[in-house]
Amino acid sequence: MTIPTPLVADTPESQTPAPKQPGWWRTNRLALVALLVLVPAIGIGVGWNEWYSYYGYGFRKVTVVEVPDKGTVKVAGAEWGPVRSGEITDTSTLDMPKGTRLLAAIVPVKPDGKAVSCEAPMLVQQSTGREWTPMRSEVGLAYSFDENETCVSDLADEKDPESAQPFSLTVGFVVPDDVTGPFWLDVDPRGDGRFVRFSIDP
Amino acid sequence: MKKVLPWLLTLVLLAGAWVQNAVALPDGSSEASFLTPATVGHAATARNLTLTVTDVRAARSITDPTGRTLESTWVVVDVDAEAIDSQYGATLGFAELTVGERTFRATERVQSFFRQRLVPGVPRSGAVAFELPADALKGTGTLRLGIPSDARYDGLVELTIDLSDIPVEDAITLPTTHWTHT
Repeated sequence: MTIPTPLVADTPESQTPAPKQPGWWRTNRLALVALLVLVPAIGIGVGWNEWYSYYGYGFRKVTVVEVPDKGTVKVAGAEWGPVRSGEITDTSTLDMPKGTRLLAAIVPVKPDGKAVSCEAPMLVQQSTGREWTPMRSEVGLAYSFDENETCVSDLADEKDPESAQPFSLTVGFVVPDDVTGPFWLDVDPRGDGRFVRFSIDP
Repeated sequence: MKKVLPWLLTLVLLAGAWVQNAVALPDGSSEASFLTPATVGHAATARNLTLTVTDVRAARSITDPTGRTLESTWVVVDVDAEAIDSQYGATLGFAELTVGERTFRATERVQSFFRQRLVPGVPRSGAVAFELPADALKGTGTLRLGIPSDARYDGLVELTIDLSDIPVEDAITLPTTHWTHT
Protein backbone atom coordinates (compact mmCIF):
# COMPACT_ATOMS: atom_id res chain seq x y z
CA MET A 1 0.00 0.00 0.00
CA THR A 2 1.37 3.31 -0.95
CA ILE A 3 0.62 6.62 0.66
CA PRO A 4 -1.22 8.85 -1.85
CA THR A 5 0.45 12.10 -2.60
CA PRO A 6 -1.48 15.19 -1.53
CA LEU A 7 -3.36 16.87 -4.35
CA VAL A 8 -1.92 20.28 -3.47
CA ALA A 9 1.44 20.55 -1.93
CA ASP A 10 1.79 22.47 1.35
CA THR A 11 3.18 25.87 0.51
CA PRO A 12 5.79 26.97 2.93
CA GLU A 13 4.86 30.30 4.61
CA SER A 14 8.05 31.91 3.54
CA GLN A 15 6.96 31.71 -0.01
CA THR A 16 3.65 33.68 0.13
CA PRO A 17 3.42 37.18 1.72
CA ALA A 18 1.39 37.25 5.00
CA PRO A 19 -2.07 38.84 4.50
CA LYS A 20 -2.02 42.53 5.63
CA GLN A 21 -3.46 42.90 9.18
CA PRO A 22 -6.29 45.50 9.21
CA GLY A 23 -5.48 48.58 11.43
CA TRP A 24 -6.82 49.03 14.98
CA TRP A 25 -9.15 51.86 13.94
CA ARG A 26 -10.59 49.76 11.16
CA THR A 27 -11.07 46.71 13.41
CA ASN A 28 -12.94 48.79 16.01
CA ARG A 29 -14.82 51.05 13.67
CA LEU A 30 -18.24 49.84 14.77
CA ALA A 31 -17.44 50.44 18.45
CA LEU A 32 -15.97 53.85 17.66
CA VAL A 33 -19.04 54.97 15.76
CA ALA A 34 -21.21 53.69 18.61
CA LEU A 35 -19.12 55.73 21.08
CA LEU A 36 -19.48 58.84 18.94
CA VAL A 37 -23.23 58.45 19.06
CA LEU A 38 -23.70 57.13 22.59
CA VAL A 39 -21.48 59.55 24.56
CA PRO A 40 -23.32 62.70 23.45
CA ALA A 41 -26.65 60.87 23.70
CA ILE A 42 -26.01 59.91 27.32
CA GLY A 43 -24.87 63.46 28.11
CA ILE A 44 -27.99 64.96 26.60
CA GLY A 45 -30.24 62.31 28.16
CA VAL A 46 -28.90 62.71 31.69
CA GLY A 47 -28.78 66.51 31.36
CA TRP A 48 -32.36 66.69 30.14
CA ASN A 49 -33.55 64.34 32.88
CA GLU A 50 -31.88 66.47 35.58
CA TRP A 51 -33.18 69.70 34.08
CA TYR A 52 -36.71 68.36 33.77
CA SER A 53 -36.85 66.94 37.30
CA TYR A 54 -36.11 70.46 38.60
CA TYR A 55 -37.76 72.79 36.09
CA GLY A 56 -40.35 70.51 34.56
CA TYR A 57 -43.95 69.68 35.42
CA GLY A 58 -44.89 73.41 35.39
CA PHE A 59 -43.80 73.88 39.00
CA ARG A 60 -41.27 76.63 38.36
CA LYS A 61 -41.14 79.89 36.49
CA VAL A 62 -39.26 79.02 33.31
CA THR A 63 -40.63 80.88 30.29
CA VAL A 64 -41.47 84.55 30.57
CA VAL A 65 -44.56 85.92 28.83
CA GLU A 66 -44.15 89.70 28.77
CA VAL A 67 -47.31 91.74 28.70
CA PRO A 68 -47.38 94.77 26.39
CA ASP A 69 -47.80 98.16 28.06
CA LYS A 70 -51.43 98.59 29.26
CA GLY A 71 -52.20 95.29 27.54
CA THR A 72 -53.35 91.83 28.48
CA VAL A 73 -52.08 88.35 27.80
CA LYS A 74 -53.70 84.89 27.71
CA VAL A 75 -51.74 82.28 29.67
CA ALA A 76 -52.79 79.11 31.52
CA GLY A 77 -56.49 79.44 30.83
CA ALA A 78 -57.00 83.06 31.84
CA GLU A 79 -56.56 86.60 30.60
CA TRP A 80 -54.18 88.66 32.77
CA GLY A 81 -54.10 92.46 32.92
CA PRO A 82 -54.06 95.33 32.26
CA VAL A 83 -52.06 96.05 35.42
CA ARG A 84 -52.53 99.15 37.54
CA SER A 85 -49.84 100.25 39.97
CA GLY A 86 -48.87 103.16 42.15
CA GLU A 87 -47.32 104.33 45.37
CA ILE A 88 -49.58 104.67 48.40
CA THR A 89 -48.51 108.00 49.82
CA ASP A 90 -50.98 108.33 52.67
CA THR A 91 -49.66 105.74 55.10
CA SER A 92 -50.58 107.67 58.25
CA THR A 93 -52.95 104.94 59.42
CA LEU A 94 -50.44 102.19 58.67
CA ASP A 95 -47.47 100.82 60.59
CA MET A 96 -44.83 101.59 57.97
CA PRO A 97 -41.09 101.39 58.72
CA LYS A 98 -39.07 104.57 58.31
CA GLY A 99 -37.34 105.11 54.97
CA THR A 100 -39.62 102.89 52.94
CA ARG A 101 -42.33 103.17 50.29
CA LEU A 102 -45.55 101.19 49.98
CA LEU A 103 -46.06 100.18 46.35
CA ALA A 104 -49.36 98.67 45.27
CA ALA A 105 -50.46 96.80 42.18
CA ILE A 106 -53.75 95.41 40.93
CA VAL A 107 -53.93 92.68 38.27
CA PRO A 108 -57.37 91.81 36.85
CA VAL A 109 -57.71 88.11 36.01
CA LYS A 110 -60.41 86.74 33.70
CA PRO A 111 -60.53 82.92 33.70
CA ASP A 112 -61.64 81.33 30.40
CA GLY A 113 -64.01 79.02 32.24
CA LYS A 114 -62.23 76.82 34.74
CA ALA A 115 -60.70 78.46 37.79
CA VAL A 116 -56.97 79.16 37.65
CA SER A 117 -54.58 79.04 40.58
CA CYS A 118 -51.47 81.14 41.01
CA GLU A 119 -48.90 82.27 43.52
CA ALA A 120 -48.94 85.81 44.89
CA PRO A 121 -47.37 88.32 42.49
CA MET A 122 -43.76 89.22 43.11
CA LEU A 123 -42.12 92.61 42.63
CA VAL A 124 -38.69 92.42 40.94
CA GLN A 125 -36.38 95.42 40.57
CA GLN A 126 -35.30 95.33 36.93
CA SER A 127 -31.82 96.76 37.52
CA THR A 128 -30.81 94.35 40.31
CA GLY A 129 -33.22 91.39 40.29
CA ARG A 130 -34.04 91.91 44.00
CA GLU A 131 -37.45 90.44 44.83
CA TRP A 132 -40.23 91.50 47.18
CA THR A 133 -43.34 89.52 48.07
CA PRO A 134 -46.63 91.08 49.23
CA MET A 135 -47.00 92.36 52.80
CA ARG A 136 -50.22 93.06 54.56
CA SER A 137 -50.58 92.34 58.27
CA GLU A 138 -46.97 93.45 58.90
CA VAL A 139 -47.87 97.04 57.95
CA GLY A 140 -51.18 96.97 59.78
CA LEU A 141 -53.46 96.25 56.82
CA ALA A 142 -56.27 93.98 57.93
CA TYR A 143 -57.28 91.03 55.80
CA SER A 144 -59.83 92.00 53.20
CA PHE A 145 -62.15 89.59 51.46
CA ASP A 146 -62.04 91.69 48.27
CA GLU A 147 -58.28 92.11 48.08
CA ASN A 148 -56.77 88.76 47.17
CA GLU A 149 -53.05 88.16 46.95
CA THR A 150 -53.42 84.78 45.23
CA CYS A 151 -55.88 83.50 42.64
CA VAL A 152 -59.45 82.76 43.76
CA SER A 153 -61.76 80.14 42.37
CA ASP A 154 -65.25 81.59 42.90
CA LEU A 155 -67.82 80.15 40.54
CA ALA A 156 -70.82 82.03 39.13
CA ASP A 157 -72.79 78.77 39.23
CA GLU A 158 -71.75 76.36 41.95
CA LYS A 159 -72.78 73.35 39.87
CA ASP A 160 -70.79 74.43 36.83
CA PRO A 161 -67.00 74.17 37.26
CA GLU A 162 -66.62 76.03 33.97
CA SER A 163 -68.10 79.24 35.38
CA ALA A 164 -65.12 80.79 37.19
CA GLN A 165 -65.63 84.48 37.89
CA PRO A 166 -63.23 87.29 37.03
CA PHE A 167 -61.31 88.74 39.99
CA SER A 168 -58.34 90.95 40.77
CA LEU A 169 -55.06 90.32 42.55
CA THR A 170 -54.35 93.22 44.92
CA VAL A 171 -50.90 93.40 46.46
CA GLY A 172 -48.73 95.84 48.39
CA PHE A 173 -44.94 95.78 48.74
CA VAL A 174 -42.70 97.48 51.31
CA VAL A 175 -39.47 98.56 49.61
CA PRO A 176 -36.65 100.81 50.86
CA ASP A 177 -36.71 104.43 49.62
CA ASP A 178 -33.51 103.98 47.61
CA VAL A 179 -34.99 101.13 45.58
CA THR A 180 -36.30 102.74 42.40
CA GLY A 181 -38.08 101.37 39.35
CA PRO A 182 -38.71 100.20 36.79
CA PHE A 183 -39.94 96.94 38.28
CA TRP A 184 -41.41 93.75 36.96
CA LEU A 185 -44.53 92.33 38.49
CA ASP A 186 -44.38 88.54 38.00
CA VAL A 187 -47.46 86.35 38.35
CA ASP A 188 -46.87 82.61 38.24
CA PRO A 189 -49.92 80.46 37.35
CA ARG A 190 -49.60 76.98 38.86
CA GLY A 191 -49.13 73.98 36.61
CA ASP A 192 -47.62 76.03 33.80
CA GLY A 193 -43.91 76.63 33.18
CA ARG A 194 -44.79 80.05 31.80
CA PHE A 195 -45.28 83.14 33.95
CA VAL A 196 -46.79 86.54 33.29
CA ARG A 197 -44.52 89.58 33.53
CA PHE A 198 -45.79 93.15 33.67
CA SER A 199 -43.42 96.11 33.56
CA ILE A 200 -44.39 98.82 36.07
CA ASP A 201 -42.80 101.96 37.44
CA PRO A 202 -44.94 103.22 40.30
CA MET B 1 13.89 44.18 40.42
CA LYS B 2 10.86 42.11 39.42
CA LYS B 3 10.51 40.81 42.97
CA VAL B 4 10.84 44.22 44.62
CA LEU B 5 8.44 46.12 42.35
CA PRO B 6 5.12 44.70 43.69
CA TRP B 7 6.23 45.41 47.25
CA LEU B 8 7.22 48.96 46.35
CA LEU B 9 3.91 49.49 44.61
CA THR B 10 2.07 48.11 47.66
CA LEU B 11 3.91 50.50 49.93
CA VAL B 12 3.17 53.46 47.67
CA LEU B 13 -0.53 52.56 47.52
CA LEU B 14 -0.76 52.06 51.28
CA ALA B 15 0.96 55.39 51.91
CA GLY B 16 -1.40 57.05 49.43
CA ALA B 17 -4.44 55.58 51.15
CA TRP B 18 -3.15 56.73 54.53
CA VAL B 19 -2.60 60.29 53.27
CA GLN B 20 -6.04 60.41 51.68
CA ASN B 21 -7.63 59.14 54.86
CA ALA B 22 -5.71 61.69 56.93
CA VAL B 23 -6.66 64.72 54.84
CA ALA B 24 -10.28 63.69 54.03
CA LEU B 25 -12.97 65.88 55.60
CA PRO B 26 -15.49 64.18 57.87
CA ASP B 27 -18.64 62.62 56.42
CA GLY B 28 -21.29 65.16 55.52
CA SER B 29 -18.79 67.96 54.93
CA SER B 30 -19.92 68.40 51.36
CA GLU B 31 -23.34 69.52 52.59
CA ALA B 32 -22.16 71.49 55.63
CA SER B 33 -23.49 75.02 56.19
CA PHE B 34 -21.39 78.08 55.41
CA LEU B 35 -20.86 79.73 58.78
CA THR B 36 -20.30 83.45 59.27
CA PRO B 37 -18.83 84.19 62.70
CA ALA B 38 -20.47 87.08 64.52
CA THR B 39 -20.37 88.88 67.85
CA VAL B 40 -23.08 90.62 69.85
CA GLY B 41 -23.83 94.07 68.47
CA HIS B 42 -22.17 93.56 65.09
CA ALA B 43 -23.96 92.77 61.82
CA ALA B 44 -23.08 89.57 60.00
CA THR B 45 -24.14 88.38 56.57
CA ALA B 46 -24.96 84.87 55.36
CA ARG B 47 -26.19 84.54 51.76
CA ASN B 48 -29.63 86.23 51.74
CA LEU B 49 -29.51 87.44 55.36
CA THR B 50 -28.02 90.31 57.29
CA LEU B 51 -28.44 89.86 61.02
CA THR B 52 -27.33 91.52 64.25
CA VAL B 53 -27.68 89.88 67.63
CA THR B 54 -28.23 92.87 69.89
CA ASP B 55 -28.44 91.08 73.25
CA VAL B 56 -28.42 87.64 74.86
CA ARG B 57 -30.37 87.28 78.12
CA ALA B 58 -31.53 84.49 80.40
CA ALA B 59 -34.60 84.18 82.61
CA ARG B 60 -36.66 81.73 84.67
CA SER B 61 -39.88 82.95 83.09
CA ILE B 62 -40.83 84.58 79.80
CA THR B 63 -44.01 86.33 78.69
CA ASP B 64 -44.80 86.71 74.98
CA PRO B 65 -46.69 89.63 73.36
CA THR B 66 -49.98 87.74 73.66
CA GLY B 67 -49.52 87.51 77.43
CA ARG B 68 -48.60 83.84 77.56
CA THR B 69 -46.17 83.16 80.43
CA LEU B 70 -43.98 80.08 80.60
CA GLU B 71 -41.74 79.09 83.51
CA SER B 72 -38.56 77.18 82.67
CA THR B 73 -34.95 78.01 81.96
CA TRP B 74 -34.81 80.40 79.02
CA VAL B 75 -32.15 81.98 76.86
CA VAL B 76 -33.57 84.98 75.01
CA VAL B 77 -31.74 86.31 71.94
CA ASP B 78 -32.63 89.78 70.65
CA VAL B 79 -32.16 90.08 66.89
CA ASP B 80 -32.34 92.68 64.09
CA ALA B 81 -32.60 90.97 60.71
CA GLU B 82 -33.31 91.69 57.07
CA ALA B 83 -33.15 89.80 53.78
CA ILE B 84 -30.77 90.99 51.06
CA ASP B 85 -31.86 89.84 47.58
CA SER B 86 -35.12 87.99 47.85
CA GLN B 87 -38.15 88.00 50.09
CA TYR B 88 -39.35 84.74 48.53
CA GLY B 89 -39.30 82.17 51.35
CA ALA B 90 -37.25 84.50 53.54
CA THR B 91 -38.05 83.94 57.21
CA LEU B 92 -35.90 83.57 60.30
CA GLY B 93 -36.39 79.84 59.84
CA PHE B 94 -33.27 78.49 61.55
CA ALA B 95 -32.40 79.13 65.20
CA GLU B 96 -30.39 76.57 67.15
CA LEU B 97 -28.34 76.73 70.33
CA THR B 98 -25.75 74.02 70.91
CA VAL B 99 -24.56 73.46 74.47
CA GLY B 100 -22.03 70.66 74.79
CA GLU B 101 -23.43 67.62 73.01
CA ARG B 102 -26.98 68.91 73.02
CA THR B 103 -28.65 71.15 70.42
CA PHE B 104 -31.83 73.09 71.19
CA ARG B 105 -34.12 74.71 68.61
CA ALA B 106 -35.90 77.99 69.29
CA THR B 107 -39.21 77.44 71.03
CA GLU B 108 -42.48 77.54 69.13
CA ARG B 109 -44.48 77.70 72.35
CA VAL B 110 -44.48 81.49 72.39
CA GLN B 111 -44.96 84.20 69.77
CA SER B 112 -41.47 85.30 68.76
CA PHE B 113 -39.29 86.32 65.81
CA PHE B 114 -38.71 82.63 64.98
CA ARG B 115 -40.10 81.87 61.48
CA GLN B 116 -41.26 85.46 60.97
CA ARG B 117 -40.84 87.07 57.57
CA LEU B 118 -37.77 89.05 56.53
CA VAL B 119 -37.82 91.88 53.98
CA PRO B 120 -34.97 92.83 51.61
CA GLY B 121 -33.47 96.12 52.77
CA VAL B 122 -36.00 96.68 55.57
CA PRO B 123 -34.83 95.35 58.96
CA ARG B 124 -37.20 93.90 61.55
CA SER B 125 -36.47 93.37 65.24
CA GLY B 126 -37.62 90.75 67.67
CA ALA B 127 -36.44 87.98 69.94
CA VAL B 128 -36.15 84.21 69.82
CA ALA B 129 -36.24 82.08 72.96
CA PHE B 130 -34.57 78.76 73.76
CA GLU B 131 -35.86 76.48 76.49
CA LEU B 132 -33.02 74.66 78.24
CA PRO B 133 -32.77 72.13 81.05
CA ALA B 134 -31.99 73.85 84.34
CA ASP B 135 -28.44 72.49 84.38
CA ALA B 136 -27.53 73.68 80.88
CA LEU B 137 -26.83 77.32 81.71
CA LYS B 138 -23.10 76.91 81.99
CA GLY B 139 -20.07 76.75 79.77
CA THR B 140 -20.02 77.88 76.19
CA GLY B 141 -22.95 77.78 73.80
CA THR B 142 -22.95 78.06 70.03
CA LEU B 143 -25.83 80.00 68.55
CA ARG B 144 -26.68 79.55 64.86
CA LEU B 145 -29.25 81.68 63.07
CA GLY B 146 -30.33 81.74 59.44
CA ILE B 147 -33.11 81.65 56.86
CA PRO B 148 -33.39 77.99 55.77
CA SER B 149 -35.17 75.46 57.95
CA ASP B 150 -32.84 72.93 56.30
CA ALA B 151 -29.41 74.54 56.65
CA ARG B 152 -27.47 72.12 54.46
CA TYR B 153 -25.47 73.90 51.73
CA ASP B 154 -26.75 77.25 53.05
CA GLY B 155 -25.36 80.15 55.04
CA LEU B 156 -25.79 80.63 58.78
CA VAL B 157 -24.60 83.25 61.25
CA GLU B 158 -22.75 81.74 64.20
CA LEU B 159 -22.12 83.25 67.64
CA THR B 160 -20.27 81.81 70.58
CA ILE B 161 -21.83 82.84 73.87
CA ASP B 162 -20.62 82.28 77.41
CA LEU B 163 -23.71 80.92 79.16
CA SER B 164 -22.29 81.07 82.67
CA ASP B 165 -21.66 84.78 82.10
CA ILE B 166 -25.31 85.71 81.48
CA PRO B 167 -27.15 86.99 84.57
CA VAL B 168 -30.40 85.07 85.03
CA GLU B 169 -33.36 87.43 85.37
CA ASP B 170 -36.63 86.46 87.07
CA ALA B 171 -38.82 87.36 84.10
CA ILE B 172 -38.42 88.69 80.57
CA THR B 173 -41.18 90.07 78.37
CA LEU B 174 -40.53 89.15 74.74
CA PRO B 175 -40.87 92.13 72.39
CA THR B 176 -43.45 92.12 69.60
CA THR B 177 -41.70 91.54 66.28
CA HIS B 178 -41.67 94.99 64.69
CA TRP B 179 -39.84 97.22 62.21
CA THR B 180 -36.38 98.23 63.44
CA HIS B 181 -36.85 101.83 62.24
CA THR B 182 -40.30 103.23 62.93
